[in-house]
Amino acid sequence: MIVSKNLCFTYTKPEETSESISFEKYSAALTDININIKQGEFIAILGRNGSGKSTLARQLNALLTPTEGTLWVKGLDTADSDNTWRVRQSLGMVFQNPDNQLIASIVEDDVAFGPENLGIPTEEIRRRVDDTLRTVGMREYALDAPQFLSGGQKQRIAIAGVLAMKPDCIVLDEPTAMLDPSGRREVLETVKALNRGSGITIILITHYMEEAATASRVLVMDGGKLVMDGTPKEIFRRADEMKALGLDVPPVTALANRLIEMGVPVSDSILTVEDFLNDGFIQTLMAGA
Amino acid sequence: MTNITPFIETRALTHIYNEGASFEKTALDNINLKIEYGECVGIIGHTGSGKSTLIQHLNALLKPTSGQVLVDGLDINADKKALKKIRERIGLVFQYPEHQLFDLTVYKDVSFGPLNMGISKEETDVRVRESLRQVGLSEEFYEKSPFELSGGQKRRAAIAGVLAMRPELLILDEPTAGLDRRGRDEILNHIKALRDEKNRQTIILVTHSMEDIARVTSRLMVMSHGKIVCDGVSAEVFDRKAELLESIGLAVPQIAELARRLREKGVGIPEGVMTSGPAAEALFKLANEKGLI
Repeated sequence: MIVSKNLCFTYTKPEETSESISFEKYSAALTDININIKQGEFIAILGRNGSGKSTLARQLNALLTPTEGTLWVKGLDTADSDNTWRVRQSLGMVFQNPDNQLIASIVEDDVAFGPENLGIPTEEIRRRVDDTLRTVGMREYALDAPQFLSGGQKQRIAIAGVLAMKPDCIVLDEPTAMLDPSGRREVLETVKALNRGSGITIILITHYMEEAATASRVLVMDGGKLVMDGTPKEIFRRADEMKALGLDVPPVTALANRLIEMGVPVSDSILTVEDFLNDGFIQTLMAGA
Repeated sequence: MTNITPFIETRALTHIYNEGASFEKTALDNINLKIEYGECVGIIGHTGSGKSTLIQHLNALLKPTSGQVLVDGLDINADKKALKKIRERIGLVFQYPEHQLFDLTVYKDVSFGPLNMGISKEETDVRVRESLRQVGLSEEFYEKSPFELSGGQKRRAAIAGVLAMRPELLILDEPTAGLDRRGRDEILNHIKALRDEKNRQTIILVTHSMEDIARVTSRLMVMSHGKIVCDGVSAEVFDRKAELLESIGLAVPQIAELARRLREKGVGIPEGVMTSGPAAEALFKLANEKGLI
């Protein structure tokens, strides 16, 4: 689905400042990124602020193109401008800030905008709009004006807008940063369901380790390089390295790692509260209680 | 204490957006709260529960549809001329405050507030230095452009801009949103440090992050549909009101949830455990007592 070979990127025109690109990003570049993402994977990308996560995301749908090396999305070279629209049709993006993504004055018009542009028949658009609004839990707001919604609700509308285009892959750049726990859960359940049910490839950039723990694979970036690549269990076991990279592990994983250091023999692959409660040693402790 | 006028008080505070229109929405519904000097209060609530609307009333950015907001017993909306003074006393740091940085250097940006209040250049200099120190930005940052800083540094510079006005109440709306671990740790540690032995800055922290609440606040208010549905000691709220929190779409910190579920299974973790350090100590002690290690 997505393959890159020695992908490098440098922001070369810092004078051309637009409001949406801040200065710090000019210092972030990508160096020798080699990735291979298959259709149907659920990837979480972790890394501190300025590590290059968002720059990589923008490469994926050809908002930016490599200055060296090559990136293919569904076999299409993103550097070839003839491919740009096909790349963007198969790979939808949801950005951090929903206020920059909503354009219509009524929620359902906003969701319909993408499919309308693709030339989809009206009845099908109607169905997609209803379905996707229900999926993100915003069906009852279909006729509301986006400006009266809260930040979290707006973000769910933005996600519905991308879902309505039925892309092969959705890249979400910290989509839950401003959502409350139930909103986060809904969004995460939504993308997980799309991944499992429809086989849509999900690439989720996040600071929430609990979200990354549910992915099938985790990529960790630092200083524009890809520094770790593995299953959540493999990655979060390396708590010390993660800490050195300025990253967390899920709180229960931190607890398990701490207990192991103290000589308490719990498993070293605990990622959730359920994992912890089902751990062999903890079960013994409960039985003794 | 009941005889003393509270620092901040709301009486039957109600706010309705677009009143009379077909899409009117009651954002605050009869809120009665009291906050004393020196408290550090967390406010949590789901998206759209009224948190941001509430805090914007506390420095009169929004006016009540009905009810009152009192600071030291005085209705802040009674006298228009007093509003400027109120906004100096109640400092509000918005979500993503770094978007409001505007000046050429960090030093100038932080100076803007106090100079605008009519504070002398000399006094402003003292305040700028102190507030930048409080957020951990050393002199090497003074002449930098705010736009050269990292995300976490920018946010701290923006917080310093409000601190330099020496507000009696500091309100922070989602101060850690979108930051990585390091940025979050820095912000939270600096917020905690504002409450040292001799200076107990009064703080309201609005957040979605239960982990932030667990680390910083002592008192917690929970909002839902424009009402305060729970108000108590943070640790007790997490231990005893977990079901209420879950029923309104919130969650307790992961470790607090784990501790509660372990207690339900008869494992004696003490109440009030919300972070991995104390939880590890408690489990180690239990395993030791039972001769399992």
